[in-house]
Amino acid sequence: MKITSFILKNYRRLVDVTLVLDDKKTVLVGANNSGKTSCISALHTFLKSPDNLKIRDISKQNWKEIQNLGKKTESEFPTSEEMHERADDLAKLLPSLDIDITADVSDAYKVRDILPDLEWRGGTLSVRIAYEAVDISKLFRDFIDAKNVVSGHNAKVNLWPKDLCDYLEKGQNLSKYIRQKHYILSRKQAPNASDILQPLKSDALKKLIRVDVISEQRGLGAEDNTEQKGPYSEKQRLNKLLREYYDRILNPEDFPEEKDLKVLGQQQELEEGFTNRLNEQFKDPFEELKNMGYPGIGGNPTVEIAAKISGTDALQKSSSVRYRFDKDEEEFLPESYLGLGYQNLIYLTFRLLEFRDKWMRVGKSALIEGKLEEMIEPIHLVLLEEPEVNLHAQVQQVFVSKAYSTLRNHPNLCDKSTKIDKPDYQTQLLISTHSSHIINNIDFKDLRYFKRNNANESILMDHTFIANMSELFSKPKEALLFVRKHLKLTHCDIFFADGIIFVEGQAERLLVPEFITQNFSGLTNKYISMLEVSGAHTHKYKELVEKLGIVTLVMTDIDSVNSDKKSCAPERGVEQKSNNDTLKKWHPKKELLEDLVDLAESGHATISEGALLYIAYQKPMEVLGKEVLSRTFEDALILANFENEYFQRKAKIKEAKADFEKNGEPLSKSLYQYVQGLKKGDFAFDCLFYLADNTNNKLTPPEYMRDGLKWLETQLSPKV
Amino acid sequence: MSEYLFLAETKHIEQDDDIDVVIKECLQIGSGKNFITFAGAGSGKTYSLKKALEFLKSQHSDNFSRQGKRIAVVTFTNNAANEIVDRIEQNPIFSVSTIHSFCWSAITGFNEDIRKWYLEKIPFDLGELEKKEEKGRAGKASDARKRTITRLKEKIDWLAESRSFTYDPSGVSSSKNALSHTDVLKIFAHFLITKPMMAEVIVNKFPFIFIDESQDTDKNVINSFFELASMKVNEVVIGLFGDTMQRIFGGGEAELGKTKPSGWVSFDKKMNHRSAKRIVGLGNQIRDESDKRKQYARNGAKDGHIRYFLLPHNVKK
Repeated sequence: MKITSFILKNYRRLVDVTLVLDDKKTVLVGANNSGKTSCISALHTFLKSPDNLKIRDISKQNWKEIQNLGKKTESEFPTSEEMHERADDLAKLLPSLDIDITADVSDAYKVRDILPDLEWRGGTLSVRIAYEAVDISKLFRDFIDAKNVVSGHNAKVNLWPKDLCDYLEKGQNLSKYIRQKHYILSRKQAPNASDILQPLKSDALKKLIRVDVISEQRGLGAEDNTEQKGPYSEKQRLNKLLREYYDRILNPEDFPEEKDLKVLGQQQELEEGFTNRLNEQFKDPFEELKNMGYPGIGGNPTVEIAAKISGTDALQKSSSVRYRFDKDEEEFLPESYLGLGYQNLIYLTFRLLEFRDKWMRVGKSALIEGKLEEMIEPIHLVLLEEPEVNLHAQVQQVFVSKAYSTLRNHPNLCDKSTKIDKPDYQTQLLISTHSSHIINNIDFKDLRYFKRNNANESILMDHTFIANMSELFSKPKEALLFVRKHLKLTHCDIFFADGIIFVEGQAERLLVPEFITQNFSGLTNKYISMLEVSGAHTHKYKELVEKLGIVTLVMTDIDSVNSDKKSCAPERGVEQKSNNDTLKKWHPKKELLEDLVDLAESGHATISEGALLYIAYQKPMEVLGKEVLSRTFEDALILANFENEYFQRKAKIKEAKADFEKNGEPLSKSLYQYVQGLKKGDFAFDCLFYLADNTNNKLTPPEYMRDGLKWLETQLSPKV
Repeated sequence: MSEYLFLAETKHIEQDDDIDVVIKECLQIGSGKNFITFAGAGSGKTYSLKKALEFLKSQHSDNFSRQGKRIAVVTFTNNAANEIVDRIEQNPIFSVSTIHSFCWSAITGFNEDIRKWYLEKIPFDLGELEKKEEKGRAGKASDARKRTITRLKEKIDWLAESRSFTYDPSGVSSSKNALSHTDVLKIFAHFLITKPMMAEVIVNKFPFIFIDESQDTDKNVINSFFELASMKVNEVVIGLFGDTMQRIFGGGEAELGKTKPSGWVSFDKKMNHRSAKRIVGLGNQIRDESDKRKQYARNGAKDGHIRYFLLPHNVKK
C-alpha cells in the first residue's frame, strides 16, 4: 500500500497542484519562493495539525471572493435555501487536499473504511480533506453582529472587522468556524458529472498513514515542543534528544530483558545504599523535626528518604553527553563544542530513529501510543524540510539514501541479511531542498520541480505548477540518458536556478561571468546556472528545458564547414553550412551559413514549448570598415577587441591586421588559422590574468554575446 | 418404580479431552480444516472455546495485533457474549460479539451497496404483495396489505438518493435509515456470497472465526459462512460450536450436522460434567426421538432426582 499522489488546492500559491509521490523517495526542488516549503507546510497542516490553518494560507485570489461573500451577506441575510449555496460557495474557496492511495486486494481489510463500495478490486482509493464552515449561519450571524457594532463609524475610521476575511483572521476565529472534514472521494466518470463524496471519520486516515515531520519552521503544531526550535538552535541539546529517545523507547525499567536484570539489580542495590546513607545523614535534622512537633501524636507518618536512581536521570545533565577523540585517552570535548554540521547530523539521525521506532512500536513506545492493540499504520510518511542546513557537501550527497535506509532499518521493514525491503509496511520520504549536493546522487525520476507561473486567464495570481521529472527520467530516451549523466558530472543546480546559460567550452565558462559582472548588473543578483556543453549535444537538453520552463540562453558556435564537411573559415557565397546540431535541430533550425548569419536579431529568441529561449552564435561584425565573420568565441572575442593593445601585442594578430590593411586578406581566415593554432585552455586563462592584473583592463564581449545577455537580463527583470 | 430408570451411562472425566487436542490441529492458518463441535449442555463447550482461544493467543497475539487482525467469536445473545468475555482472558485480538453486531460491523458504511440491495428486493416484495392484493378480498388483511404497499412505494422513492444507513442493536430506532434485525443478517449473508471484496475483508481481518450456538444462528448466515469456507479454503478457519437441542429462538439451522458441507470435520463432546445421572438419562430419552445424540454422565456423578411438574396453561403465580 502506498500514497500515489496528492492534489492540493487553494493553499497559498499552490492554487491547483498535483504532487505525484515516488514509492520511496521524492525530492521537491525549484527556485526560491516557488512553493516547496508551502507544500510541506500544507501537508503538515492537513495531515497532522488541522488547526494550524490561517486565513492568509488561503490563496490570495480567493480573499476577494470571501470578502464578497461577506458583503453579500451584509446587504441581505441569506434564506435557509440560500445558506446551503453560500456554504458551497465558501467551500470552493477554501483549501482542500485529495489523497490517492494505491492498495492491493489483500489489504482490503485495512482500507475497508475508505472503500467507496464493495465493487473495488484493488487499485486506487481517494480521500478528500476539505476545510468547511462548521455552521455557516452562525458564522454569518456572528460576523454581521460584529459588523453592526462598528457600522456606524465605518466611514470615519477603519475598524475591525473590515470584511469577512478580516473577521476570520482574528485570534482563533478561523479554527472556530472552519474545520476539516474528511470524505471518501469517487472521481467523476463523465466530464459533466461531479465527484461523489461520502463522509468519512477523521481517524480512518490516521490509521493508514503515520506522518512525521522535521521542519525548519517554528511552532508548527501543538505536538511540537515549543522549545524545540530547530536543529541549529543552541537549546536543542543532544542530551535532551538522547534522553527522550531513551525514555520513550529504550528504558528497560518497563520491559526488562535478561541483560537488563543485572544492571537493574545493581541499580536497586545502589538505591538501597544511597537511601540508607541519606537516612543516616538526615537522622539529626529529623530528630530536630520531632522536637518541633512533627510527627507528634495522632498517627502521623514519619518522614523518610528514598533515593531513586534511573537511567533517565543519568542523562539529565548537559555534561552527560561528551565526545571522545581517542579511545585510549581521557580527554573529552563537551557537547556544545561539536561543529554545527555534526550537531545537525546527529539531531537528524536521532529524530529519524525516533520516528521509525515509534512507528514500529519498539519497546515502551508501544504503550505510549495508547492501546497495545493498535494496528501499525501501513504507510509511514516522513516530511523533511531542507535537511542540508549546516550539513557539509559530502554528507549532503549521501543524505537522502542514508536517511531512507535508516527509516527502514528494522526487522519488520527490511531483511537484515539480504537487505531486501519487506512489502507489508511502506515508508515514503518527502524532502524539500535548495541544495544541489542533496540531489547529486538521486535518481532524477524522484525530483518534482516547482515551476513559477505568472497569472493567466484561469488562475488570476502568480502560482506554481509541479513538473514531474519521472515523466522524463523514468524510462529516459537516449537524449535524456546523456542529460542525466552530464548533469551528475557537472552541477545539479539547474533545478534551483532563475535562468540557465549553456556555453560551448571552457573559455566561455571562464569569461562569461566576467562579462556579466562588468556589463550586466541586472544579472548579478540572479541565480544563474551555467552548463558547459558542446553545440553537438546542447539540443539534448531541449526536453528538460521545456519541462522546467526556465529562461534559457544558449551561446554556441556557428561551426562553419565546407562542402566536404571540413571545418573552415566562414565565408559567404561558397555554400558553407553549419555543423552545429543545436542550430540545425533546436533553433533556428537552419543549416546554410548565409541563412544563419543573416538571421534578424529578433529571430534568435523564441518560445520552445512554453520555455523562453535565446540561441546566440557568431554574427557578422564590422571591423576596420569591413564585414567580418567569425566562427568561434575566441576569434569573435579578438575581433570585438581588435584594437585592444592586449591582442595587438600578439605577433600573429598584429600580422593579421597588417595583412588585412595591406592586401585585404580576410580577417576571418587569418584569425581562423590563429585560433586553430591556439591551445584553447591557455587563451582563456591568459585573458583572465590580463583582466585580473589591473582593474582598468577590460574586454568587450562580442556582440552576439552582448545581445544574448541583454535578452536574458530583460527576461529576468521584474515586470513593472 | 425401578431406581435404575433413566440412569445414564458414565464415563471418565477426561473422556472428551482428545477433542481439544485435535481441534488445535485444525487451528493452523491455511489448514483448510473447518470444524463443528457438538457440545450439549454441561459438556464444557465454553471450556473448549477457551482452550482454542488460548492456543491461538499464544501463536498469534503479537502478529495479529500489529497487523490489525482479530479472532472473531460470534454468539447469539448479548448475555452469551458477556459470559464468554467473563470466562476467557481478555486480549485485544479477541473480538467477541453477537451475530447481529458482527454482521453490522461488516456491512456498515457500504451505503451504496445496501441501497442497491433494497432497490432490488423491495420491488420484488412489492410485486408479491400486489399480486396477493389483487386476488384477495377486502377486509382487515387487505387494508394492512394496502398500507404496506404504500409504505414500500414510499421507500423506493426515498431510496432514489444516496442514504446513510444505521442499525440499533437494541432495536429502538424507528428512523427510515435504521435497518431491521433480519435485514442486517440477510444483507450480510448476501454480500458475503456475492461480493468478493466482502469475503476478502472478512477472511483477512478474521483468519479464525468461531460461531457459538451455531444451531440458533440464522440459516442464511450459517450457509454464507459455509460458502465462505469453501471459497476461501486456505485463508480462513471456521469453527462452529453448538447443539441442536438448545434452541432458544426460531430461525436456526435445525439440521445442523446433517447438512454440513463435505470437508468439514465434526467433533462430539459427549460428557455432561454438570448433571446427575438421571438428568442426563432423561435428556437422552428425549433426544432419542430426534437426533439420537447420547450424553454420558461423569464417573461418580450422583444418581439425582427428577421432579415432574404439570401445570394448566392459564395458571397465575
